[in-house]
Amino acid sequence: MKIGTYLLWAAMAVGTGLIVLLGYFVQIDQIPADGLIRNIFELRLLIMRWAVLLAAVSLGIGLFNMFLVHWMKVSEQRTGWKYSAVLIVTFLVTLTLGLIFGPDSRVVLFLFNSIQLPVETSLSALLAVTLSMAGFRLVAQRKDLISLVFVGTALIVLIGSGPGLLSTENLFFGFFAGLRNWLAQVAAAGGARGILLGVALGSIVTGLRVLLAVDRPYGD
Amino acid sequence: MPELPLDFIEMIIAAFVTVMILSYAIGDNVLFRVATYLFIGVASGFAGAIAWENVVKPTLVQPLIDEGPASLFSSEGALTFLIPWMLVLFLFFKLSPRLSRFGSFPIALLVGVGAAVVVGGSITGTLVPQSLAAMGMLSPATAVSAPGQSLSAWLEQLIGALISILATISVLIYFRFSAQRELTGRARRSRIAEIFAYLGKVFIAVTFGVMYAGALMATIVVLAQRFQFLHDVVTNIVGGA
Amino acid sequence: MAEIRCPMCSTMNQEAAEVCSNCQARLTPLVADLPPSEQHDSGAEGRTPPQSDANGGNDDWLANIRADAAMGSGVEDHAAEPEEADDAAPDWLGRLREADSSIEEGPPSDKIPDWMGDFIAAGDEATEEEVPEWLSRVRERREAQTEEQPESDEGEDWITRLREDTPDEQPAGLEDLKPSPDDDESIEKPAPQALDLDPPPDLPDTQVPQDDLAGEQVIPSQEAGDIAPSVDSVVDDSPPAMQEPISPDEEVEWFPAPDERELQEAEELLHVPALLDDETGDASAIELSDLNLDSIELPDWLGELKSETPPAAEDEGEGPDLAPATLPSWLEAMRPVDTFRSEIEIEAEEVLPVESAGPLAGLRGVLLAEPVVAMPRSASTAAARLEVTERQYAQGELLQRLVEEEEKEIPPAKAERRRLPLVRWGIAFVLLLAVILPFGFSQLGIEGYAFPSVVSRDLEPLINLISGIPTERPALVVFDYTPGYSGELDMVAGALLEHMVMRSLPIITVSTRPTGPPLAEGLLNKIAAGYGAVNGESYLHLGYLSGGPTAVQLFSIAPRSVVLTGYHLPDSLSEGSVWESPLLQGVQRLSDFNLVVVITAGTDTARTWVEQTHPWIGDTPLVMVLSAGAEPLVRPYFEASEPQVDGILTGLPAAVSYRQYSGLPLETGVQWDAFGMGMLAVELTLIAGGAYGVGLWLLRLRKRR
Repeated sequence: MKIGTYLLWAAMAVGTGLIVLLGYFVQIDQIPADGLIRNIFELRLLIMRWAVLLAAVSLGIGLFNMFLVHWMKVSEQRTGWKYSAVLIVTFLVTLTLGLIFGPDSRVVLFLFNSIQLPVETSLSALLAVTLSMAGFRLVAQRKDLISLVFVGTALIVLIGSGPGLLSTENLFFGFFAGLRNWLAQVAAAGGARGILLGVALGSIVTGLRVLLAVDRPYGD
Repeated sequence: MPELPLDFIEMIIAAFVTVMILSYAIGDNVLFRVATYLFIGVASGFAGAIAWENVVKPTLVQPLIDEGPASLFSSEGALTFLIPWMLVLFLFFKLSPRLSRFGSFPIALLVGVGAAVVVGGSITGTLVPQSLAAMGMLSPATAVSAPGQSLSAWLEQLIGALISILATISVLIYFRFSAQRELTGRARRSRIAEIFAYLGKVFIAVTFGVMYAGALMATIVVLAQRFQFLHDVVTNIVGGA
Repeated sequence: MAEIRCPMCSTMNQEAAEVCSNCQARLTPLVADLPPSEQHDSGAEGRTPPQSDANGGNDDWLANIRADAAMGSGVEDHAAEPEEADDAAPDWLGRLREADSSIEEGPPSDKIPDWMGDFIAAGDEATEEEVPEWLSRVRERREAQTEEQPESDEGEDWITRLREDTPDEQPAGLEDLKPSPDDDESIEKPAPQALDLDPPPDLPDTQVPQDDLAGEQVIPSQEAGDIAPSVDSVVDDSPPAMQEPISPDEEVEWFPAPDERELQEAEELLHVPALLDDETGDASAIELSDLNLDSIELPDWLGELKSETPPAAEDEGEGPDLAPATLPSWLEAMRPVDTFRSEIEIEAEEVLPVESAGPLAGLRGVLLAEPVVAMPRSASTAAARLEVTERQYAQGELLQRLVEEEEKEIPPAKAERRRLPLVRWGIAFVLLLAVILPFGFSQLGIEGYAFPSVVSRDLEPLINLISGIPTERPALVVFDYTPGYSGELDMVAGALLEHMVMRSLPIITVSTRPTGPPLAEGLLNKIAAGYGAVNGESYLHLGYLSGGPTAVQLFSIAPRSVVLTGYHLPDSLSEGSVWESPLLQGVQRLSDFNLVVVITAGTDTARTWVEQTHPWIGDTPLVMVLSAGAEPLVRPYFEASEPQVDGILTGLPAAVSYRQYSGLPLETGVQWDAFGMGMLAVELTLIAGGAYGVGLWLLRLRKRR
């Protein structure tokens, strides 16, 4: 039984994957109005719609799992259970209001604008302190060439990007602005292209391993 | 007692929460933790609500309401309603340890589609176009100066193109970790590969340096915006008072 | 001086030693102390009287054997053995058995075992020899059996017959079998064992018909002449019981119940000094009658008996001719250097229990596993000292230390003294101060930062693009950023969106993040308020797309199949589908939009939209509005001969420049000054870090000098 189900899952993954992959190499204008190719194309769209639906349901299952974890924490009164209680209450209140009134209702947007938006924004603002401290420690402790290049580039870009202490038309600022543009548009762009190509190659290999059933993250 | 406008209350609460979060600059404290747990609860509840409203309900519930049960047993209804319901039910089996194996069926579909999308997008969207772009940097249009173009401008363009190509190639060589095993047993790349790899590391450091500076700039803008907001709240309160 | 090897530890000991000098194991088995009456009887029966010269006339063949044995061994003392043997005429078979019981080794290759040599030299000690009691009992039984069957020739004691036939004869080799008083000391014996009742392997276990038995047939020997007695002569004198064919029932019953006499005899068997308990073991005697002496063929090694001198000193050196085992070095190192004395005392034979079960039933002195294993033994005071190498010693110490640490009670770890995060506090203070300070500029009358005067080369094409885009078809704006970056991207995207709204370009928003739709609604609501734009007429929200790249790909091909409902729809569209809106007329795929703007802070999201829309976007321009940190990894899509991204807008400075050169109102508030001061603070922080690092390095350098 176990062997049979494993083959079934692999067949599902490989089959659907190949159908979706084929669509990338066919121009939509070349697809006839009817026929087998059209049917395969429509099947491709159908499969992708199922995937979109399953992604949304997966999000719901993940939220349910998060609820269970914190519920257990509260019921067992483990360390930090009070915070979990706060989470559970706000989660249930927001979800209930969202299901009843809709996520675009005034009451739900009230919660979004009063809690989620300012908290996330403030957390991003705190990153300024963290990143500054990281840069300080990096340049203070590490003396190798790569670290110096990293911090030096960052300093040049910061000086060249931000408003100058004096007028922005002075030579000092102009020099750094030009250097900043060259670094960002030539050196960094070339390196970024290499990174993008490397990432693309890695993604292709990883995806092909799944499509060839070498990797089976969906389990047996 | 006058009814406070909801926007004002919203602003007050947002200001309090902002201060609670910014208090982390001093150190971890109860206020910060309460604010973060509040945020997680609201964010997860909102995400669940919008996923239901925008995706799940229109696909699984609304057709039943709009078209009735009879239409569901047509061929189109089977494809757009019955099969999705079946897939969703199989996905719920993942919550049960005993039946979780059957939940692998929709997961396999998700994984297969996701892998194909990534592979197809990487090939057609990045690998081919970026390779062509790298090759095109030394096109005749770049290598030969355009009419009316000054020598300095042409040199700058040519040197820029050469450095960009050098950066691309050296970064790709840096990511190639294959090496030959020497007689001593140590695996080492060739001398030329080592040089280009080190150069690639330098260009990666330049790229990440630019990204780090950009991230710093973005967070400073956000920090400034937060204090702008607090300033506005204080101004409103003071002005209102 | 001759030496013998200890059977336990293989240490060489002097021949005369009774116990091993290293491990105190007995080197010679203990001989059972027979009761005086039995001793006399056994002595009378088992020992050929030296005065029985009646054998002298018929021992030519025996003398020949002895002579050959003497010649083969080359021992001078053995020359006298035949003469002595003639006088003693001992029971060579009995001695053979006695020797066999005490000697484990197989046939020696070249030398005669000591116990055999003693038999050869039996003449000197014949009168004083002791015949083992078990042997005497065997003889007695045989005699008894012979008496029971007097008519049967087969029942005759073959030994007695042999004695009658050749009273003076004695095979030369048999004299070697004669035990000497010094046998216990001189013979190299392995650990004492029970009597080996199994016939030698080279002896066929078959009944030799009595008719075929000749009187004196020479036993074929492999070496050194015929010195062994003939097999037939041996076989002839087998007890009648052993010559009878064994019935199937008897064959099944390998160990029939012994009778009383057999039990008594079993108790008096040659005891094996061992670790026996008095109370264990019944007196189930061995079935001596099972000894099929008739079927015994003398092994070749017995035929190679050579006359040897009986002195123990000479024989000690001739141990069993076995090559000593080669022990590995690590095993050699484990050999106890000092004495190792087992506290188990070796008891006398009569108190040793008799084995009651198993194949060794009836034997005394059988090693019992259970008492040995269960008996608690403590190490001797003189503990064994092993030959320990330095490495082993170090490892032993390490092991001991590890064990001791396990037993130690670990003291509770002291609570670490909290170090104040002074660096973080300092940097946070500087940053906050830098950001807050500009809010007082206006009150203090200080001018803030000037707006950028240098326009990046990327901005002008974008401004031209937005300015020239047709307004018949809507523009798709993707809000794919988190609320965390709304502080920056609202300002950056706000400039572009305001330009689009200013131009009355219809805007359709969508997002692949759950928080995208409310952000879109908030920003557009704020921008549209200044231009009179209304939701449903100037802009429309398609809502949330789940599925990441899959959703983007599907939206690019067939947006109507993936977006089934909208977000914050106007009342006119609340009952119907969002696609019924006039803004979306004619939109079937992504290329039907006249512009696609992706607002994001993440490089992955930007890359996803570029990759997934590339095959389906057609000629529709794609513009990226990015956070400052995401620009480097999106720029390659822009900096290409055939760019996939047609416009890029990054960071607050670019947004300010955009506003400046597109004619939009420049209302940045204090944010621009706060941004400038913040940037200055960060730059100074990095420079301070560098200075701190250099200072530390100089200090360390000075300390080294």
